[in-house]
Amino acid sequence: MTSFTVSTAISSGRVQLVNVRQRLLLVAKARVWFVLAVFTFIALVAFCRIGWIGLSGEATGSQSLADALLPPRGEIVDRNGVPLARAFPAYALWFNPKALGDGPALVKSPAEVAAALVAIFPDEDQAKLTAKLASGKPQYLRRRIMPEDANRIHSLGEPALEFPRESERYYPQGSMGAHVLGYVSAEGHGRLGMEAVFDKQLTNPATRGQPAVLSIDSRVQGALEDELLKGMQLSNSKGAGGIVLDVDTGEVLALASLPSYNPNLIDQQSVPNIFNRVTNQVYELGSVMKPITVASAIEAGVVTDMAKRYPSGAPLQIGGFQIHDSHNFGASLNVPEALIHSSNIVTAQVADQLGGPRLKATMQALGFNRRPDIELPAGFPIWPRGDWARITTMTVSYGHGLALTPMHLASAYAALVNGGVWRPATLRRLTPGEVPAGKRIWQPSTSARMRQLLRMIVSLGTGRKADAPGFRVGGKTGSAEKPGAHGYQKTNLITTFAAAFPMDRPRYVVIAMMDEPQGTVATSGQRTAAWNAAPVVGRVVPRIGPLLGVMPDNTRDVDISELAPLIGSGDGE
Amino acid sequence: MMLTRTKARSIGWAAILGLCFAMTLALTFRVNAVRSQVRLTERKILALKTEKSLLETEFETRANQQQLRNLNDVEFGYQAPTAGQYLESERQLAMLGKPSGPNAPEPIRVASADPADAAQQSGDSILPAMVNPLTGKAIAAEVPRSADRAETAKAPETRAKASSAARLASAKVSGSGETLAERLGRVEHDGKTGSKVERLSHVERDPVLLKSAGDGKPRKDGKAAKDAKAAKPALAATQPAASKAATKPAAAKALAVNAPAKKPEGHSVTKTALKMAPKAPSKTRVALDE
Repeated sequence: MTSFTVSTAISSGRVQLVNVRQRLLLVAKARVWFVLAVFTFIALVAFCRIGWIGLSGEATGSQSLADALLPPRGEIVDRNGVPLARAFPAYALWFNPKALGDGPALVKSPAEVAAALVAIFPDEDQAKLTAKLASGKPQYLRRRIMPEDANRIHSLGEPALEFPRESERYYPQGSMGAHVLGYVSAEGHGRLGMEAVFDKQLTNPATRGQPAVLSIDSRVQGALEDELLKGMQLSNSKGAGGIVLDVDTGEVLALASLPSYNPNLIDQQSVPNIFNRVTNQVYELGSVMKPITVASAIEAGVVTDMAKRYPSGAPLQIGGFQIHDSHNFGASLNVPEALIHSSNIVTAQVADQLGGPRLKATMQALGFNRRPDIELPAGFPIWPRGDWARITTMTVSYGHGLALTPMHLASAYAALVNGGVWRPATLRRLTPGEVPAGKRIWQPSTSARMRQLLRMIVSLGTGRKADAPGFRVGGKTGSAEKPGAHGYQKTNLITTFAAAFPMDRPRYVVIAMMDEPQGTVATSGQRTAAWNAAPVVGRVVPRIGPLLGVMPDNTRDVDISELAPLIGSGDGE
Repeated sequence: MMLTRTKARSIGWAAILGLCFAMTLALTFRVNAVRSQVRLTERKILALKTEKSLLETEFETRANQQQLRNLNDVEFGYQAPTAGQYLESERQLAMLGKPSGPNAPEPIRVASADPADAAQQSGDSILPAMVNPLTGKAIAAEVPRSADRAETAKAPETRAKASSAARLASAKVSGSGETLAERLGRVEHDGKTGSKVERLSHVERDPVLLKSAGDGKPRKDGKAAKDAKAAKPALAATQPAASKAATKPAAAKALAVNAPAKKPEGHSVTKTALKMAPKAPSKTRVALDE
């Protein structure tokens, strides 16, 4: 603006003020430059600001939203995205004695308040609550209370009773899959199960936004637990375990150990049930090992003729030991008959011909000499070390003298039926590209023969109660006496049924195991696997088959016509 | 007071500067207002998302596997389907059907929009073209569609009458080559080529069309009767199958096209469809084959 006054001064034309005029011109120029600089600066700042808003305005917004939605601990979901564990803001009941200032903590007496609280939570101990309220120490009175209970406590009119919202780990499915999931301790770290395995991933802010995906299918898990529980109650068993495994990928679709516990409520009662029978405990699994022995013998060329008969009329005398059958099946049996009737004598002879080193090598390849390949903490097998004596080879061939977890058995059966390729079991969902190549244990021809034999055991032999119509189930029963202080206990059994379906193109292995089943009316007074474990598989398969894309079909089956004429009649273990 | 030029200019510049400043301020306020609105919305979204997740968790808890099992044990008693409840193919499905006995009720036909037919009408067919067995040419070749459309635009009434008559005539002689929907008949509207309604038995016949369609003869000639016979058992065969296979979604879905619905529904659909038709009766073409 001053520059314009200068211009008028120039126009006035006062000659005597040349110096003044020059000075004024300079000043004016300087001011123009100053104003120009200020405006340029403002324009620049404005442009920068516009640019910044344009570039980063949205990004900051979404960032804040994502941050706010980031759970304190990541979710665990099943293979179909069903949440199995998630963070849940639950109310806790907190006693704050300073809420009313320095005076008494409560309006009413502690005993009265405790009585009112017991009216809301009938399982609470009134004496303990009274002691807590009278102590004057800030503490939790209870965790995880329902909103309606919070409202009722609010209506008591005690400012000292606060209910802060706290993020807790919550398992919507309750006790389902508890042994797979594990639980979270009060410090917020995973204990046991996949909570412990995924702990880093679930707590890391960079990765906890994405849920951890398990290979478990919650529907299959539910069905397996249901039927195991039913079987356990019918046979009056101490416990039960079960696995459903994908034979082509090694993914575990369901893994159950009963009795179970509720991970939402870890207390003294649930401590003994936290023990996982499927992966932690090793058992002598008994006759379910016979197909593995027979497959090894077929693979090694020891059994080339299915019609070849082995003497079975008398107990086998080896050194000071005798190998018996459950009862006499006749003077001789061939291999299919031996499997159908579950003959120890014939299996021991087959193993004897096969020899210890070759049987041992197969079992080592199946991972029977190390912990099972699974993410969960697992038990170490009881594995006969050194060179196997003749009697060791024979007893191992029908599942004694070697203690395994059911998880070992599931992986081995998957290899037995899928064409002979063993893959480690996993509880992570695998994309098709992640499926391990596995290692070949048996030739596809051996596996095809085993599928026929396993199917025959179910259609004609000891596994008939597992024969779900249309699902082409094949499998083997196993009833092993539990070792006690004075040798094997005749009445305490571990019964197992290891099955796969559909046998014309196996997709899933199903294992059911009962711990110390009793003979009951429901099991016709029997306590062997054919009466308690096999029916569980027979009920589980029709429930899970359609869910997993295996439709029942009475017009299809694995062809057993070439072996059928070799079978006599009679019943086995 | 006299305003010099200089002063006026100064005041002018000051005013412009003030104006700019005021506008900047207003803009800033506006920006901040919008921003706080965004923040508010964001917070609302957040609250809703949290609530959604809470409700989801609650639902998962109330509908968890054990609860559903207990409910099923007490209330429903559903069991896993058996092999007999599954069908492998359309052939198995057809095997479930029975021919309709004497005095059996007429199958109820309902209105439907066949996407394949709609596509054919609009020119780009998704099905292979129907071939006239007499001439050996595609029907589209006999009645050039582009010319048909162009002329329809010029003289909609007369042209459409002729074209639909021609189509009907050719459909009649083509016999087994035509679709079930065509055998059942349909209502066509001149204005919209895509919309059509399969008719119910109570829809009245259009004598004008019947004349033009059947070379002056009524449609109830030998060929038409044959068509009707062919159509009836096919529909009847699917009817009992629908009820039997209702447990299997895939089968039910496959049947959905032809499955008879409840009577009132079918009537109401047709009625509304007819209401939508132009008022002049000559414009509504009703193809019949009964």
